[in-house]
Amino acid sequence: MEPCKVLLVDDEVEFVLALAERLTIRGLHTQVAHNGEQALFVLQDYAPDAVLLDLKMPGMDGLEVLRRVKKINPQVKVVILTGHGSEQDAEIAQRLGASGYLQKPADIGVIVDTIKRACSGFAD
Amino acid sequence: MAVDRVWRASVEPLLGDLDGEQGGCPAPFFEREQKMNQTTARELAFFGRITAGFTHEIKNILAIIKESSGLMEDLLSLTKDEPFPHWERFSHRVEVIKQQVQRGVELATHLNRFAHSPDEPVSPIDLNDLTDQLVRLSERFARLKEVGLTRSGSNASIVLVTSPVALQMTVFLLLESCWNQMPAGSAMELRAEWRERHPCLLVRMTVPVDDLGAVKQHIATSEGFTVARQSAHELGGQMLDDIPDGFALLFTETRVDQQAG
Repeated sequence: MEPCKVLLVDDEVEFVLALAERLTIRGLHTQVAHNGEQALFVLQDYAPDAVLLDLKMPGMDGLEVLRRVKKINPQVKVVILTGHGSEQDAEIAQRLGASGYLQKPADIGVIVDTIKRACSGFAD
Repeated sequence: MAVDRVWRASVEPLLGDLDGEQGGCPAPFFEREQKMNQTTARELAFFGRITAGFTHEIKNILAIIKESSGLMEDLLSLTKDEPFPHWERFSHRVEVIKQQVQRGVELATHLNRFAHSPDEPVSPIDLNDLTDQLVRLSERFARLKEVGLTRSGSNASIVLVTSPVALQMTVFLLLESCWNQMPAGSAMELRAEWRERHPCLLVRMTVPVDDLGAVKQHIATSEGFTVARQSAHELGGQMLDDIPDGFALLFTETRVDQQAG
């Protein structure tokens, strides 16, 4: 079985690189983007199964990225991973089709489970 | 008292207006007071917004430390069968980093909630959440006085509709007046409960001396306690000092969210 392909989108470079490496060690295939525009560009070529997305980023914010990702490919699962989120953000993200909503910093086991569940369609 | 002097100084210049063109109506005073309240609220909200923003940044930093130490742990476990003389010491330090990150995250989360307190001048506040929040934020102050501070949970939902800032300040002042007078080695427990059909915050004390009554007397006559009592009164509450092992803050006139309760 092909490993789940995950696009990680976060402007905190050190955070997203360390997390990508940890997910790779756990058998996931990863690619990183450091802002919304870059994420949408990578999305076309990389064709991920899931996107792990921060909400508060300079430029295009996470909710806008979510909206556009779902417009480009509604099949892609999006999991929000944020340290800034409010209940209102969580509700909007869910309405826009997010499959999961995690608070930063989250346990690596929880992140992997949430991504795997999203990829296998259980989170819907 | 200092507060009284300040109040008089701010009111006396306005007293002339009370019998002036307003026909006995103290409108200018209330307008000025209202403006002062609005200014204070804006200042508090500003202070809160900046602090809340920084707590988010602190959480981002903690997330980087967490993932970096987690990656070190991962790499360490991948090399478990290879010779590395400091494996255990290294592993122990990574565990310490993880624990401290968790501690930092909890503190930043509570500080963030605290910083958001002035967002609404009046809002529903669950007293159980409030006790948890205040104990986490006050623990350090009590610890420096060598006094333990814990909370005990209650299953009942007790929700007041009042000023979050004023309520937290009042309870903090009460706790502070206690640990300032309690001998080293004492312990305090904060608990929300219903008492005489009113919401109540109970502070129970355990002291390593025989005469708890004398300790209570010192607390009840301290300046801090007097300010806490006044502050409680302004919130529609009253401070009870006839509780055998502590004090109670009884909210007799404060609005209660009955639906939540």
